[in-house]
Amino acid sequence: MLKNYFTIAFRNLAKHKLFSFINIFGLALSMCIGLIVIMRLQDDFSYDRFHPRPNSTYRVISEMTNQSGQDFRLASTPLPLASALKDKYAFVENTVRIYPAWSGKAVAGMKRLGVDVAFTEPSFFNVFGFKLEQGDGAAALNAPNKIILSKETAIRFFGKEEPVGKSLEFENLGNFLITGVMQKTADKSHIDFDVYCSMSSIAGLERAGKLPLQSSDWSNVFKGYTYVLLKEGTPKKQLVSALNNISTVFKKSGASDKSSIRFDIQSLPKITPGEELGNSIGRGATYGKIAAEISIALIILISACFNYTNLSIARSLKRAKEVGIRKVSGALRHHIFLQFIIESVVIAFLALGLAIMMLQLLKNYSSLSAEFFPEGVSMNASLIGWFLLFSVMAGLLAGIVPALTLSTFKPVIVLKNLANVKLFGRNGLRKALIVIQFSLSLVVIIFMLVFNKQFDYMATGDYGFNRDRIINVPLQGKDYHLIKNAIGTISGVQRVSATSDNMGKFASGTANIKLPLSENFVPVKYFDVDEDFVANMQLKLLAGAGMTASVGDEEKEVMINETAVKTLQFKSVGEALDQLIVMDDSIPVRVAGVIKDFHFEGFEFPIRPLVLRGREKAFNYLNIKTSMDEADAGKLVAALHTTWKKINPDEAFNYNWFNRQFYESKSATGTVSMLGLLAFMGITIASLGLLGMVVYTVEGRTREISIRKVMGAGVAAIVSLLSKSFLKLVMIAIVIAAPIGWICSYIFLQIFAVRVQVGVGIIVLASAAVLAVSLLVIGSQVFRVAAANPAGNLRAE
Amino acid sequence: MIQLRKIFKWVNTGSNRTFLLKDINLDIKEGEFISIMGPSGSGKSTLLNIIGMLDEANEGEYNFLHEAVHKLKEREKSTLYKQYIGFVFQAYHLIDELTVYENIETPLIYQNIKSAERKAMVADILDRFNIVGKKDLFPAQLSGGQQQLVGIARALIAKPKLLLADEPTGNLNSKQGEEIMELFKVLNEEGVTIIQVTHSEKNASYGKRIIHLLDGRIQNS
Repeated sequence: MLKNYFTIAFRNLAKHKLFSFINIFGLALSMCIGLIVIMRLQDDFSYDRFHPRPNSTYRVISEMTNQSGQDFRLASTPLPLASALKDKYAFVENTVRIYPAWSGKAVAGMKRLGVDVAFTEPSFFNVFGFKLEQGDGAAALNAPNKIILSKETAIRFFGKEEPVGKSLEFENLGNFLITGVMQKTADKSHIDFDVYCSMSSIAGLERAGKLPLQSSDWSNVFKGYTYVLLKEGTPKKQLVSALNNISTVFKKSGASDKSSIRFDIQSLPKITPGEELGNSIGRGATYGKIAAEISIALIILISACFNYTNLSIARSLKRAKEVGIRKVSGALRHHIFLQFIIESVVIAFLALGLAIMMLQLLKNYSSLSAEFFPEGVSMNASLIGWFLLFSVMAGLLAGIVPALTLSTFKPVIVLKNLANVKLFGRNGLRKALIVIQFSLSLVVIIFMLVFNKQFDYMATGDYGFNRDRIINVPLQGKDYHLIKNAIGTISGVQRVSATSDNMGKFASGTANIKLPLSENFVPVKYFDVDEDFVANMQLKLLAGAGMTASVGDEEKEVMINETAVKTLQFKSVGEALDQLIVMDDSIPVRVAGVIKDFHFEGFEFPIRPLVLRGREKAFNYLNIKTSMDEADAGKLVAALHTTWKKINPDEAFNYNWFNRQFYESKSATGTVSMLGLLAFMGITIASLGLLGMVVYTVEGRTREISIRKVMGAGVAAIVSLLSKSFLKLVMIAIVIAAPIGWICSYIFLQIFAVRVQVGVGIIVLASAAVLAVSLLVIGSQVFRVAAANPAGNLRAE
Repeated sequence: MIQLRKIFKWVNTGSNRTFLLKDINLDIKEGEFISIMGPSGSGKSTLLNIIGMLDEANEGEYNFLHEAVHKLKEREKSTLYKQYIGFVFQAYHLIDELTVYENIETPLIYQNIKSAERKAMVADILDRFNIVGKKDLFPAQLSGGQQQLVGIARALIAKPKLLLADEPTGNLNSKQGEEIMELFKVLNEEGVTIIQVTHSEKNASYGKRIIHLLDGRIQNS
């Protein structure tokens, strides 16, 4: 019986090629997205599966209420918490702290590379399932200045050489002895650092002032992560109540008078994927992200299944006779139902095959590969199992309505006269499906256009600082004066300035300032820049002459922006000039200039108070203003390179044109192309659905059209007669989707402090595009029929 | 075998009730060959469909082999029908996507007969109807007469006791029609009860009894 069903399924597919193509291609497109999501889900759920006692291991998380009464849940906890737990509570078998205190450049021999360092304890290897490839786990971190490298880091620095026993210098921190290399496993973990350093190093580093004093600071909840392993059989509520005690004591001691902190726990397997937490430790999906991905995949899949449903119902009249015959031959309703379900599952499997091919193309030949696919993903048995299950589900979803409809046909009706068969109410459903598909596509298109407009604006907009004809060169810790002077003499270089970080993304740091007589500090952002920076960036000085040449480490003067003037409650920019202000990390300094507000943090944030300081040791980049554009600057760059190499023979010369670098960092090309792909899929699936419906409607009306033509109707009249009802559907979709798209985009734009207008233009453009595509689809079929010779059709009757 | 008592069948169009069958009383014994005749719209096909259990009467009793069909549930009717009745149509009604062989096999599939057994049964009937050579062709590749032959083969494959034919020769030329009628005669002699609806006096004469219908009533039998 099954063989018979498969036979007829395949013969039908082969016979109705257009129908099969629309169904398989549409389903494959959407399944492609579904498969990617499945791969990502599998990756998301594969984290932290290798630890020895996952169900007795917990991470402590902080719940904080800040001064303004907002609640936060943070993945991090104060560093002293671990010992408070371990010392006082017997049911705690072990604790581990992970303290990612430092990241920067590490040096070994000639190599100088960036690393992320986490400080941790020997118990790391008892609580977690990490293994060492070289070195002894218990001894590797048991004394100050010992470090363990991840496998990749070991290879990056030492290649095939033996790293254990060698040392690594962290800039500003000193030398550390390598005592082990981590084993690389296929398993992923939310804990993923380049270097693990012994926690006992901290005390010395803090004494020497190389790291801020935080390890005994109860009020700093942002820096450390605490993991607790409970003794076998301890209920987790014991840990919860212990944490409650600790936070109560902590509150009484007045350690945090303004804000309050409570603690909660998270079992190790529930960290990734887990809830959205502030200050999370590393990579790993949250439930929110997972839910978003699943819903996108489902929406696209359902849309493609709509097509199948839609077309199958439209086509069911052609299959009605078969149903009638089968019933006369003794088939019961469930036989027929099963047959049509099998047919749609067969289609789903064919679509799966096509989807896997598309996936391979996307993975191997697309620039989006990195955006879509989790790292190191490959086909495995369980993935294939999920794919198959997914196809069956898709087949069922697509096939259930047609199967139900077809299996109810009564033979006595369908065998007698097909024209009498009416699919009551189905037309409404089918039209609704088309409208929904087009609406969804249009919303995505509008959103994509707005997204693109916003990011294009962010990439090219006027931030209030100059990016034209500027080359940024990272100083890499080299002597600033030497290089600045040498480069300044090259022809084509107009001016050289220095900065701690390039504008437009993140400030270099946050400090608190106040007036000498005031009580209250206010937070400000700061950069460190030299005296030529204002001119290079074409910032506007509203008052004062700006900073004089920097004088080493002794901080004497700063510049502030207008917002800072207001925040400090000066009445005017002139009043602020030459005043002394107190910074919490420095001595009092004089305001040497007031700068017109500009978007130093990009358009994402409103303009905040800013202090431009002049500490030379904080400079990280040179900004070289040139007299020419990038295209003509070949010689200049070569000269820069030579000069750099003369001064720093061992260091590679790096440079970026500010304009281009800025554009690339802001334009979000990846996301735009992803949205573009989504929009493309949406409109393709919707168009295929429309195409199918037009084809079958037009076919069903061939006779009517022939009669009308014989009666004298012209091609134009026929085309308009046939197109009208479909165009109406598309118009309805536009009317529904345009406002929704506008509202979604408007809401999305609210996350940017400076934003573009959604604008009528985008809505009109998107609607026109959708309309044009649907006209093309409708026209391609309608003209064919309208232009056909009626005699042929009528004779056949 | 068949007893129809006071069978009424009507349709409601608006407020009017149109009777398709009125007070039909009919007894048919096993082994009979009956022709139902009458002008268009006299209710011939409706009567055949009711006998074939494809349709239900609005009123009246129908006993088939001592089962009260009018009291049976859909599923029980279907079982009864599968076992005892074969249907032949004027328009052949073969499944276009299946070959001759597969078309004939279809009823067996729904009776859960094993594959090997099905093969033997289909081979037998192909042989008997002399269409072995055509078994892998699709209906569109056959002439009308050949298609009807396949239709009859399909109706007979499950060895029904009763064969119902709704104008089986209506789409055929006279020579093909005659062949089909000869076949029916032979089948009837082998013990199959046959009821056919026909317009043609000549074909009707193959039957042992002719029932005339007019406006839903039996005239004289």
